[in-house]
Amino acid sequence: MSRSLRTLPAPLAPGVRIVLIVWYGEGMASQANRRATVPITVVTGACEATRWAIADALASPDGVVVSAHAPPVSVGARVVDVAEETFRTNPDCPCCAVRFDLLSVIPVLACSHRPLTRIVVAAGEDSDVALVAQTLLASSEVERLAELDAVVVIVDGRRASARLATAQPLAGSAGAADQLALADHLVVTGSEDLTADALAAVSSELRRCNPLSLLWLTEASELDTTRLTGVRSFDLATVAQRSSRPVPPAPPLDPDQPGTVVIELAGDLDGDLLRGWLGRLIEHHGHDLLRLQAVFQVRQSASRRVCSGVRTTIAWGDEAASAPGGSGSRALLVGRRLDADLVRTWLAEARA
Amino acid sequence: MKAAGQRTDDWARPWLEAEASDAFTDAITAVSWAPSGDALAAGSLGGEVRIVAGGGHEAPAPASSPIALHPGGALCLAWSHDSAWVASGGTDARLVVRHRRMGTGMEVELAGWVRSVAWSRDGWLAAAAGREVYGAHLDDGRWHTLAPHPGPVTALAWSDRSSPGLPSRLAVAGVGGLRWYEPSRDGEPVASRWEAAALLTMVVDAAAGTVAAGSLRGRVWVSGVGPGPCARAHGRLGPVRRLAWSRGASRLAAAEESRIAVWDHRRSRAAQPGRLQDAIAHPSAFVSLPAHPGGVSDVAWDPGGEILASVGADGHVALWKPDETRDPLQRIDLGEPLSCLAWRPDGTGLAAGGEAGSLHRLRLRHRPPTSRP
Repeated sequence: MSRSLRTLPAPLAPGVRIVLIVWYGEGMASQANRRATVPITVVTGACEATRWAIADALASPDGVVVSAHAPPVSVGARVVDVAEETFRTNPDCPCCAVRFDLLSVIPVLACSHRPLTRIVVAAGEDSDVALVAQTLLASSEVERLAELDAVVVIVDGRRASARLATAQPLAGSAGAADQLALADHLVVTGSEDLTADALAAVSSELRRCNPLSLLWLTEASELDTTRLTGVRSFDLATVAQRSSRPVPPAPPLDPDQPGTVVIELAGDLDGDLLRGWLGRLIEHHGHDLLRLQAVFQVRQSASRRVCSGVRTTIAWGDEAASAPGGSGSRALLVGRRLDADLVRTWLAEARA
Repeated sequence: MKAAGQRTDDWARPWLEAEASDAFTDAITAVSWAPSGDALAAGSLGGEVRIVAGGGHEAPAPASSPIALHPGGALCLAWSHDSAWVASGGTDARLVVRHRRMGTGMEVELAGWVRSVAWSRDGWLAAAAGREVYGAHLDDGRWHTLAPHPGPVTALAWSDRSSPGLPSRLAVAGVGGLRWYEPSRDGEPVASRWEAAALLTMVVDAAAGTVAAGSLRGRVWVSGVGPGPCARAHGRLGPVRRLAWSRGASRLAAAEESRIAVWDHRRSRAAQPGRLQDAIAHPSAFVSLPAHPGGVSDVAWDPGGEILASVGADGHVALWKPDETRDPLQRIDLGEPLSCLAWRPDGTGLAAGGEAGSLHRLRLRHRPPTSRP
């Protein structure tokens, strides 16, 4: 799938607050001068030492770790210190924000000819990881040089088990809950200290929080970190390939916790009405939308439309000819306070 | 060179020809001609800052050792107005000042990556690292720290005059807007603007006393030095990476995403004869040029103020005359994504830096339209 980029020519709907919607069309840019993009892995979650051990392993020997916090132990990888600088691009909208420090550091790192196999963004336990992802996906300069590969979240198995035992939510803060919901990989530490029942309970709850992620029940020291790489989880081709994978809907136990909504629709959608649906979705749920992955069957279109993004930053393009294909539309939404019936009804209204 | 008594656009088109190329160890990040026009300096992410050309176009580039080294990468450089000194900053958090011939100078450790450096006409040097801005006069070398900026600083520039007889003023742009400082004061700003903006770039036309700033949200503002009226430029833009004034601040160009935005007060139906800032908000002053797929990296007007040059991620250098046509006069493919450019002060050529590490020098010629390939 071509990765050339242009902004959509018209707003989706009057009053829609959109930071960026990008269209990955075909053949827009000269391919001759294009260079390989550097993969970016975001590592976050509990257990600072484990976080750094995984970041160090992912970035060694020719990667770099970008972090606002100094490592507690010595690490072999190159570390670039940044000061977290969040800038609201729209003062009236809490989700329209970027990490300015990442926008200025990552293009410099990715542009260099020094051997650079990976950039690892090490974020704190309560960091807004959706903001990190949004920043990396929204910048055309970052997009040209680097690509968000995966989000790895460390879970302290003992602490998670203790919280479940006292009927508390798995995550202790909104930021931590978002991290769990957005993760591509969940790495559970301390699993050897848990009973089989406790481990099963933690695993089950993690699966319910995030049915999309891969779960690693192992010590960080035993984890083969190469298995955390090569995910390209926000890439439209990856989203298209995964579109046929069964994902059970997972409504949250608590409305303030993130949940998963799956919408499946037969038949064709109208292209303009579909854009209207997307605009409506962002307008009403932009701040709470931690992830959107979807394929849509559009009338008079040879290939399906693929859609991927975080909060108000959504990319979409055409499904590649080599994709597994299929018929109908399927949207998977992860977020808070998502009104599943309403969102489904809106999409049904986009039928051709 | 055009013949005496003839206007260039009467009989010939400007035309660039590749002249020479110098190899650096990594992507070029900054390129700047000495104001005297007899030397060209460039810095790269390989860390070296080198002076690669001296003398006229015909003179071969001397093989030179770096004038400064920034392990991890050089990010910015600037010449002093007497063309004797080069200041550079990099990811090593150091500011290095070197005399171009003697190699003497100084090194200062700052708080973080040194993103921007600028000389004033009267010998002040300013450098920015993170939120911190430092200043020193070449004569005494004592460093002063200004009040921290509200957010990361992205650009510095000096104005020659705030009003006749007063010293230069320093403009500091970044997240949290633009602030003006006078170096003789106590380090507190004398004026500020656009406090809610994340400014990615800023340019000052020192002679005209006019500043333009571009933001992450695609806004462009223009104002005079210090307090007073300001104007927001017409147009819906993407993040504004670079800005360039033409001579006399009559036109402004902006690099945003894959397009170039140009505001020309002569096009504005609302404009009275005079400054662009009076007309910039009017749609008739605005032209958008589809320039470089993949992103416009840099724009610059030739010293005569008529020809606009641009470089982009598509590897092309393009020449424009926006008041004549929205199509480029010429495009040259230099074979690598290009990051920066600078015109020779005499307008007879330009230099462009590439991400593959080549510093390209191109000569400007004028050809009759009929002989245009």
